[in-house]
Amino acid sequence: VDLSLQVVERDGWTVVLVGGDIDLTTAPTLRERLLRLLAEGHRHLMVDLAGVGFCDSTGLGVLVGTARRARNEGGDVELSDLTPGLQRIFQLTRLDQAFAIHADLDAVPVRGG
Amino acid sequence: VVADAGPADDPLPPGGRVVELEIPARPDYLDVVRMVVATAASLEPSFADDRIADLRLAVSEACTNAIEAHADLGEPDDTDRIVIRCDLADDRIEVEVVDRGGGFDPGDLDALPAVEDPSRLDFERGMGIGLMRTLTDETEFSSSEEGTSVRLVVYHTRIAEGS
Repeated sequence: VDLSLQVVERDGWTVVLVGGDIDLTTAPTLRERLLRLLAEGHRHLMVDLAGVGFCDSTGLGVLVGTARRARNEGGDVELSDLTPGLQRIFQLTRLDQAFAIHADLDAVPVRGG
Repeated sequence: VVADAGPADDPLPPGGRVVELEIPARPDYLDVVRMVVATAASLEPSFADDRIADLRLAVSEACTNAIEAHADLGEPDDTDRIVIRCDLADDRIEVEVVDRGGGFDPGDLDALPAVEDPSRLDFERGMGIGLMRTLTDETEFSSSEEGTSVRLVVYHTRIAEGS
């Protein structure tokens, strides 16, 4: 199982482009990267999940934990470009109501502009 | 030329078809489990893709719990094994995930707080069992000191929409 992570600055957001499967194997890598970005002062993270074909509850837990940390520090974690499969998981767990979810990166509003 | 009836034309033998997989209790085998379960399920043409995706995730959750149960017992070695048995019946697929980890009491798991409750975000773990119950038509846990068995059933046609 491979996970790819790419970080770019865009419109006031730190965008994390995630690719691959998120499960018990790869979730620690994602968690470390997101927490490191927060620790470096990137408090507004936009996690783009367009390239994620599978995400289990371990992956959801990473996103929830990172969002909580970011919000405690005056930032936030928002999500973009969920595949239909992921949208369904977010609906079933009702996490679609815990995150701002954008259709894609072009639909993300410019921050602090 | 004698036309040979393919597997799809053969009637199912009594008891259906069983696919069994035994893996080391290690996370890097989750991918293999998902692939085998999804492939086995797709042998039945009436099984909709979204139901296969549901089953794939539910089984992955069950195996994740099994792997973590083994890890809780200490450093895993090669004798820590998890068995995944898929029974492809006419109208449904039943998957049993059996581990020899420490076991747990599913009744001990508190329900997650409502989404509007800010403490919802305090729960990074514990979503897996709720997901299994929502994704499948039947979920059954039996746990003892010897380990845990999880039985997941998905019918080809959804009989109950998760709430």
